Amino acid sequence: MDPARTPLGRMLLDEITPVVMVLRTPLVEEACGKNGLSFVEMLSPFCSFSNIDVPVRTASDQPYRLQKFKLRLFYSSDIRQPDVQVANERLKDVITQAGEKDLSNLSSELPQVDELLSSSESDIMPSWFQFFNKELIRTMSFSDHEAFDHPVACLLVVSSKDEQPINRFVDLFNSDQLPSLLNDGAMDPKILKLYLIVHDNQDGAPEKAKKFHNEMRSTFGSNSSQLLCINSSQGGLVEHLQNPWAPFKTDASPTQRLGGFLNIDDFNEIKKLTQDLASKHVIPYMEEKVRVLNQQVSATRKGFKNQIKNLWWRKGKEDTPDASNGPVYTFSSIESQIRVLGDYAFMLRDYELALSNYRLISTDYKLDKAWKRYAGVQEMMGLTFFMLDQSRKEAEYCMENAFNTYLKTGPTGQQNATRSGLWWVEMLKTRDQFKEAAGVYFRISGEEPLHSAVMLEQASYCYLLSKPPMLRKFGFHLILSGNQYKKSDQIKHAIRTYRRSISVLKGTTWSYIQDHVHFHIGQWYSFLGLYDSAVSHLLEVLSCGHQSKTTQEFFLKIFLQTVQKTGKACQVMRLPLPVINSSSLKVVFEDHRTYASPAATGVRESLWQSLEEEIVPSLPAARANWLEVQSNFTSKPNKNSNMCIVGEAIKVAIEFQNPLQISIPLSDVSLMCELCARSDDADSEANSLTAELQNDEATMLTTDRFLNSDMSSFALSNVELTLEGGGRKMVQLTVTPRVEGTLKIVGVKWKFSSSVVGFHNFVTGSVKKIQKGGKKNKQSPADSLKFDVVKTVPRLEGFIQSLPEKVYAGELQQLTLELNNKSHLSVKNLKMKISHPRYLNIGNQRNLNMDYPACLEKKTNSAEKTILEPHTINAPRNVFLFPEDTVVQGDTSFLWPLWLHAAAPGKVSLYIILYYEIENPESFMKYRTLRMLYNLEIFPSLDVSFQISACPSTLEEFLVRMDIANKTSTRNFQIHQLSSIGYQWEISLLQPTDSIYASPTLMSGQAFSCYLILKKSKRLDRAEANGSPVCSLTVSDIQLSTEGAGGKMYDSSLSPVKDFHNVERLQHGKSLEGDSNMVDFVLIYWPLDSETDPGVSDRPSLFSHHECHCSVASTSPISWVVEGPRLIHHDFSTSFCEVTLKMALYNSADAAASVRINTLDLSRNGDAQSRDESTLASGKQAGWYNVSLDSEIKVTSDVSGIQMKPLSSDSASPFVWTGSSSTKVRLPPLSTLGIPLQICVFSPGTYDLSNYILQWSLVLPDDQGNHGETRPSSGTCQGYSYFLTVLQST
Amino acid sequence: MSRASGPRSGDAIFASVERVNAELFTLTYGAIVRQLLTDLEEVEEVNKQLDQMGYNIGIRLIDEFLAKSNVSRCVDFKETADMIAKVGFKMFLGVTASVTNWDADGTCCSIVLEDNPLVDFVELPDTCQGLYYCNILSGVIRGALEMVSMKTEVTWTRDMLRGDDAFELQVKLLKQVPEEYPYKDDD
Amino acid sequence: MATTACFIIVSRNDIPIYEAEVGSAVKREDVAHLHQFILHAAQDIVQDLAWTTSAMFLKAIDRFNDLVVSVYVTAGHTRLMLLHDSRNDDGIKSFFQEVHELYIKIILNPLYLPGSRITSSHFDTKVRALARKYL
Repeated sequence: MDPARTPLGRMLLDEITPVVMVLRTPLVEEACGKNGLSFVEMLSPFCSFSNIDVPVRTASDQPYRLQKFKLRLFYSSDIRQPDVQVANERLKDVITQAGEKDLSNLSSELPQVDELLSSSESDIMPSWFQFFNKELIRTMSFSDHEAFDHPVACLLVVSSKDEQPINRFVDLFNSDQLPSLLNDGAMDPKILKLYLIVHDNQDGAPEKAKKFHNEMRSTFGSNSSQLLCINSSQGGLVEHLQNPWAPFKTDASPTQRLGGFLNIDDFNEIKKLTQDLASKHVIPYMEEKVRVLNQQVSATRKGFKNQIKNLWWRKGKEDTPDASNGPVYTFSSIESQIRVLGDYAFMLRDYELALSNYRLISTDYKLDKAWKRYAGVQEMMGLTFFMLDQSRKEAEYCMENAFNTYLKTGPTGQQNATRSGLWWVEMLKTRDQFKEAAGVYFRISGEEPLHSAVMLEQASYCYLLSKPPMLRKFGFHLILSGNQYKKSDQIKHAIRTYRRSISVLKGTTWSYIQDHVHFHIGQWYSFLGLYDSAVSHLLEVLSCGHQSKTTQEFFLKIFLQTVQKTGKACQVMRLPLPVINSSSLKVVFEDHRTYASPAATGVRESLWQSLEEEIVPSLPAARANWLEVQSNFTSKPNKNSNMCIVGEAIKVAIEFQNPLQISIPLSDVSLMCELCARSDDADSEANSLTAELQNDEATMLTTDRFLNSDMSSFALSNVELTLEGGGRKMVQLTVTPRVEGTLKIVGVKWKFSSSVVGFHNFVTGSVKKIQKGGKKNKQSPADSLKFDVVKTVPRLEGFIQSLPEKVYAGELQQLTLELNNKSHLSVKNLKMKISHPRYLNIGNQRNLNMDYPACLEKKTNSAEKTILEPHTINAPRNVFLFPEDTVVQGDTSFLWPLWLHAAAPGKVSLYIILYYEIENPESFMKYRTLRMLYNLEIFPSLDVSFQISACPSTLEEFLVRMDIANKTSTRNFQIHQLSSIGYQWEISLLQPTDSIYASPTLMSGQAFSCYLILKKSKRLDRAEANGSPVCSLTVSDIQLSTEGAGGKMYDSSLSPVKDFHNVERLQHGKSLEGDSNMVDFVLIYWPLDSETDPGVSDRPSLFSHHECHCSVASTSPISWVVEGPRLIHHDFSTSFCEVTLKMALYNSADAAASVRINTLDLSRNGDAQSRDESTLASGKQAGWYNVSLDSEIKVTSDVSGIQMKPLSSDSASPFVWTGSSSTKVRLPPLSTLGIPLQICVFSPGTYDLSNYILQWSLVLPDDQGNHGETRPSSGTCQGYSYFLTVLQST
Repeated sequence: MSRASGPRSGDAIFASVERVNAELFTLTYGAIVRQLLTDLEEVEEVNKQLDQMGYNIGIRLIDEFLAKSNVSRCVDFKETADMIAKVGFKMFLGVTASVTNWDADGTCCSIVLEDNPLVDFVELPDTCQGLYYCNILSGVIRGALEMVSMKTEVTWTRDMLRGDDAFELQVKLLKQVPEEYPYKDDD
Repeated sequence: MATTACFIIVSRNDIPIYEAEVGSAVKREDVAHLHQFILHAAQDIVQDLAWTTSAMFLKAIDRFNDLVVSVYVTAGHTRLMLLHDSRNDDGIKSFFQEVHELYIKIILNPLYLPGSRITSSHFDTKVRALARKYL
């Protein structure tokens, strides 16, 4: 494109044009003043010619025509470097005015990025930038180092009213009032002079003026003198449509009419005047001068010889002391002449000529180190290149060169640099090198804040306009300039730039950036008093967890101050403090399910349901029936909205979280609810409300609704709390509806540090956890917060009186379940279920008022064994049905006994469900359930283990070893009694009590063991007699301790103990009708010492330990004993001795057994040996005499074997078994049988009659194979040793 | 159950089996865990699920294990534990574990893993504290042992991801259901 | 060691996922945002350069007064950016490379959601150690 059309081109054609110096008399001004114009102002509009069409011939011979041309008129007084201070002041005013102007759109909506991008440069940039830049450049004019500002011609103006105008002309041009440029010889004083006489037509006819004009002609030459008549119109009421002077009079007040006295002929005169001023004088003069100079230059400098000379000469000048700007060049010096030549050529658009001369001179200046001038020339070269529109690189290089060189020179250089920078920028812009342009702007942004602010802002727009747009840079530089604006307290501009940057930086996660921007905008708004906008911005920085503590406090302080300044209590929909963790929202409500304790609500719904299964009529059915009932009331049956009861609180737990490190006080934390009383428009209203709530913008509207929504319809809880830094708190809020209808929990509101009210809307945030088992997935959050309030139904509150948290294992306690019915209605047929009957069991009414543990004592203190009737052993009921007649009346409480037995150590949580039905039929709910949860921690107390081994000596007698260890650290226990429960089993002491135990108490950590005998009670026979093979369990007790409890015995067949015992049996997975070889033990003990560790219950209580299913049949089911004389006197002289023995066999198995006894004829020597081997191998016998000798019971059999060896070895004197060597018998189950045996002894001695083998095998019924029991079904036993001594009788 | 052909060492088997790129394996497992976390939201649930998955692997894997490493029937729990640590881990995970901390009655021991390919790159973020990342392993052991009629309870006692110096699995034998061989001898 | 060095990792969608002031100079509140601004702005340059070169380490791509921005762009267009006032390219380069390794480890952590903030303290300490070593 044509460079002249570009912005820069236009600028240059404007700025770099010939200057005409004007000298005038005061009367001239006076004449012009009538029009409110100075003389220069009056002419200026007519000094720029769009189409002057003058032929020009410079150095080259072919002429060309100038079209666009301009003269710059200045009073001689103005032709000097303008004062920087003044200039700055002016600029400042410009900016301030601009700021005031766009204060209006400060609070307007922010422009979006894409808008900015789409819109063109002109409407992004503030309009005053152009003006600002022009002014800036003007401040650099009339420097002596460049010639295009030097006046080309001098216009002397005298009024016709002056007396002796000719002399006046002369006086005007005397040097004292001439500008310094001419005086100090920077330019040629011999300047083209033009003489003008101005006549004011209002002072009468222009004859006089004409006369003067003639004089002038004669004096100064005809063509250089002119006459101008003005103010031709009387009255001065001439109206000019589009007033030509307006653009030139910045400070024009609209009232005064410009050029009121100038009518159309005056216009034409002025036009004509300026026209030939330009075409007839200035341009020709310049042409002339160019030609002359050109000749001189070429004479002195063109050509090789001159070059050398020039160089050599300059070298010679090296040593001359330089001023900072190199040598001083007078107008006569060749350098300045070349410069003038260049500039004139430039102004006459002969750019080649200009360029060549600039080139020429620049080297010289460089050599002379005349940096300023050098830079100036470089600058012009750049511009010339541009105007020639060739070699961009050259152009830019020159500009950069100029720029840097200027910077090298002093502070004035800085300003020149700025100018060249601006030109450079323009150059780059026209070539769409916005990025580089921005860079240049950045470089010319000096220290002076205001100046740099504007430059930076322009830079930012360059980034925006560059392709691709560099938005972040844009934002960044906006911020930078905003800072500068702030420094030079142009707050409005600062805000403007910052707000623009927001449009770019919005939504960025660069926290510090966000905070910085919003915080400052907020602050500045509050400076300006726009508090609402300030608050809205400060809100953004409130949750600044990443900032340091001090910063956080600072932000908070400012925010609160601003809020106070706003005066009113401000209400914010999105108050970021504290952060509300929507996912943590828990809604707990009670429809037919009620909870005894908050802990109970925490339990998984599925778990409760699994427990409820048996007691509750199947859930869907239940729900169906209340649904249809309810559908009578509401227009539509809304299936998925929950249900709550009038007067019963809905608990909402929501987590508040403090992102800051400083603690923040919250008050009036409460729910926002809407309760539409049940009516036709209920739903519509509710919907409309939610609709409003959906959009957060409708803050005020919604708040009003909540603040004055009538509290009569529901009651809200009000919480105060303080969140520590970084802390999070679950807040429990409740709403209690008071009338039926549809309740909506809309959100939560709180007051932050008692000044700001914040809201949070649940529906917008998602609800995750709802206490509503399977349904929660299907529900939309909105539904889960919507409730149908139905009319009140009774609700039971229940708890267990004084249930300890910590107990020792085995403890048996009596507790009481208390149920309170607050309502006036009564509830009936209660059911109850306990998750762990092993630990907690339900007593019956009569337990209630008996004193425990006394109630367990036996009436008779004898060890008389009692019989558990079979029917009493029934499985503990899964569901406990309270007696039919139990009805909990309104406002009454109801007690029921419970038994606690700490069965096993560990933590256990007991779930209790109580089911009850409501009496009045037309309530929504037929039933409700009460859910209770108790956690129990059980410490180990006594560790009891039993071992049973058969004793061979006597049939059906077993040795029981009881090992007890006290596992507790602190407590001592007294063992009181041991009861065995089993079929006909009867426990008894090995020795009388007192003899074995000095004290039956167990200190902590102590352990001891004792031996007891377990024998079949004789009832067996009777039982068999009346042919009932399966017979009842017997309980036999023995007292282990003499002192304590007054030697009373406790009846382990009484209710709680018995029940728990049964549970224990079940616990071990065996059927209650265990076989007869199983025996259970119940150990009863209690803590001795009074001092009890805290938390552990110290109420009077028994401890009971239940050991179940100790198998007596751990050995072979077949046991036998040989009975007969031990010592016989016999006279062997007469005959050998015949002894008859009886072997009693007992089959303890529940199946018939076939037994075969083989007697071995002779006892060989190795016999004993082999037998021992066998004994060792098959530990089928327990050598029972030796047991007491060694401590470890387990190895009994082996030891016995070893013990027996010597015995058997020395007694190998022969005897023979007589009678059948092998007998086979069949033993019915649980029966004894006697078999006769006989031996013959031939000599006195001691004999061991153990050389027989007993083989047995159970004949099992087919239906019951072995159930993986590790019990052998057949085996072989060696005979027991039986020592018979035969003496010779005398 | 003859010890004729003794058990092959874990290394031998490990050498023979085909391999997959360790990182792929690790990342795959990681992806599973991540998915579980997103699906079940609660760390506890994830632990459960992992264990369950492990169990399902275990009950299948045991056969593979017994087939490949023809180990004979282990006489007691001690031997079983050793077998798992020495052969099993080596065979399937390529690392050897050690068995320590036997309790008195030999029903409870710890399997200690010095390194564990599952947890390469893994670091527990704050949101996942309480996650037993390798819980699948415990499941595998539990499942496998159950197939050889040992009811066990496997719990993590040490976890590198929680800053411990090793991975330690505590294997507790709850009850051993002996296989019985139903035969009758009547004369 | 550089007096000022602000290291930051920016995810491919321009979200800073890790920030650390690793300079020896005492951390000052008021420069924190300036550093962010500079780095943030520098990304305009990065996004141009990243496509022009195959190298991951684009030396010093931007400057603000005496602060220089060096950038290292991973294949996944995660940008490791360092704002520093010292000039040793080699140190910075190796710093970036090692941090890159660490970052890969982080990425491979299945429990780490790519593009989310890097909270791992282990990573943090490692990075600072590297900074001490190289910068």
